[in-house]
Amino acid sequence: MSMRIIVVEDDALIALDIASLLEDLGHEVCAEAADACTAWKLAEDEKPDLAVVDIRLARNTDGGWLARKLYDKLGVRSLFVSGSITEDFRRDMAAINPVGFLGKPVTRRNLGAMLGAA
Amino acid sequence: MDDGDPAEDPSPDRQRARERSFRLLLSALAALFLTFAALGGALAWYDSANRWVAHTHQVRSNISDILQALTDGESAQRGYLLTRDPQFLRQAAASRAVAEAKAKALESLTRDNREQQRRVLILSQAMRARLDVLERTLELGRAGDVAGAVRVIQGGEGLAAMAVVRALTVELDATEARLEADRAARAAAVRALMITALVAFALILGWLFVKMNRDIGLDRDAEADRAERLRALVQQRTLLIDEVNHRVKNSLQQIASVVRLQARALPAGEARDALDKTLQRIMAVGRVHERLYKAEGQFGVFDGGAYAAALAHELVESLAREDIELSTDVESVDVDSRQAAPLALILNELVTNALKYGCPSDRPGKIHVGFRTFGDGYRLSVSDEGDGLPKNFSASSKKSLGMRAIEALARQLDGRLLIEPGPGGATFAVEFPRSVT
Repeated sequence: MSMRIIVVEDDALIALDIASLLEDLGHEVCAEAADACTAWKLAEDEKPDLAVVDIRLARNTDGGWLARKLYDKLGVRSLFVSGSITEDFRRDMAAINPVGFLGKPVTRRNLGAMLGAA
Repeated sequence: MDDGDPAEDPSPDRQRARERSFRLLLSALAALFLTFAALGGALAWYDSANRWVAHTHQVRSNISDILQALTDGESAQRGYLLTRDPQFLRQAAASRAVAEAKAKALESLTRDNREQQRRVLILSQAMRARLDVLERTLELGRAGDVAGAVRVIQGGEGLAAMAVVRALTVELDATEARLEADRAARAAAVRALMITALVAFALILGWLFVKMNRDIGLDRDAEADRAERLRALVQQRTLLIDEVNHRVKNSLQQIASVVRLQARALPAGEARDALDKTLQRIMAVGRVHERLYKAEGQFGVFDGGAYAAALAHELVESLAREDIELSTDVESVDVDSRQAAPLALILNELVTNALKYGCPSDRPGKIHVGFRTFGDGYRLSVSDEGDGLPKNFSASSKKSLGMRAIEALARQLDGRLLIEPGPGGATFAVEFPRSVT
């Protein structure tokens, strides 16, 4: 099942890599953003099916805040991809029904498995 | 000095304060001891002063007893001469005995005072003269010569002796009264001193109590302060470690992303395979880091068995070949974290090789991964059920990058590579010792 996905990641090459992996897996990347504010504006226009969100974003913005807003306002669920996922963060995000939490580095296989379960 | 290590010894200021407080405590204890000794001395002094007062009192009562005995004797004399009743004779004798006993006691009591001793001597003589006159009149009376007795009395010898006795008793008593007053005043002074010493004792004790209480409170505050600083430090270091971990993982992701993007840009072929292999090796190391970090709060340990099983499954699944059966036999043992990365890379190469050479694509394959303690160290083994190794295979002759890497990594672990070429499948094993820390 192909989805329209927004990729929110502040490192340009990692974003490019994740976007390529998602396309390999048969999905469409409808938008890319490096910070939470830009991502929110793009998401409002694009209405994606799902968001792949890093936790620490450019301009000191917060992926958790973005994911919460995406879920509350647009009903978009998030897949978190980050180098630091704490138990506290998992508990805080449980309320917005995330697709999952993926530690870096990401492999094609575990990204595919997470999205397959979405 | 705020950024000094809070675990270090108390600051010099505190050290000095402690020393000062210790010296103060010592001097307070010395003061307590001295006060205590003074109190003991004062007590003994008070006791002796009181004894002297009692002594004076005794002297005075003896003097008045003598006077009384003499007066009694005179009364008995008059009674006998008037009534001739022998009971007055007995009374007179008793009075004499009392007077003489008291005089003797007085002599010994006043031995400490020569002035008084002299007076007592005169008193005794006058007393005896008076008693002799009494005796004589009673003798005359008993012989029936009352008139003779009256003459003796009228002679005035007895009266004169009695006058001396009275004068001396007054003198003696006045002196003793003065002594008694002096000694009582001294006893009162000693009592005042004693009370002062007692009050000082109580005050020093009270001060000591208050001071120690305050010191303990200060110490407790200092301890709490230090514990607070340690807590803050630990929190700060934990944050730092979290930050470093985050960066390491992000960097690994950056490297993996670059390699993957490069691989994707290449056509299928040798170059792309090489990049894929590289990516796989990066991921093997990345996984080690993830596992190390997940052992929360326990840095430096790494579950070798769990890691071997997980990596083997991941590698086999990444090939997407349903016909390969993976079995694992692993023991959950903590391996030193410095051995984790070489171990991970060796396992990655061995499993990759087993999948590539030990599982021909024309039939189902089987791979077995083992990780167990072995003697004083560990043994990692990967077996397949392929056709075995070619006759001329040896690690040193083949010199593929993979084999050379395995050998080098085994050396890094101070271990050795063992190859069992088959037939019926090859087995590669690395045995290495527990790391010595």
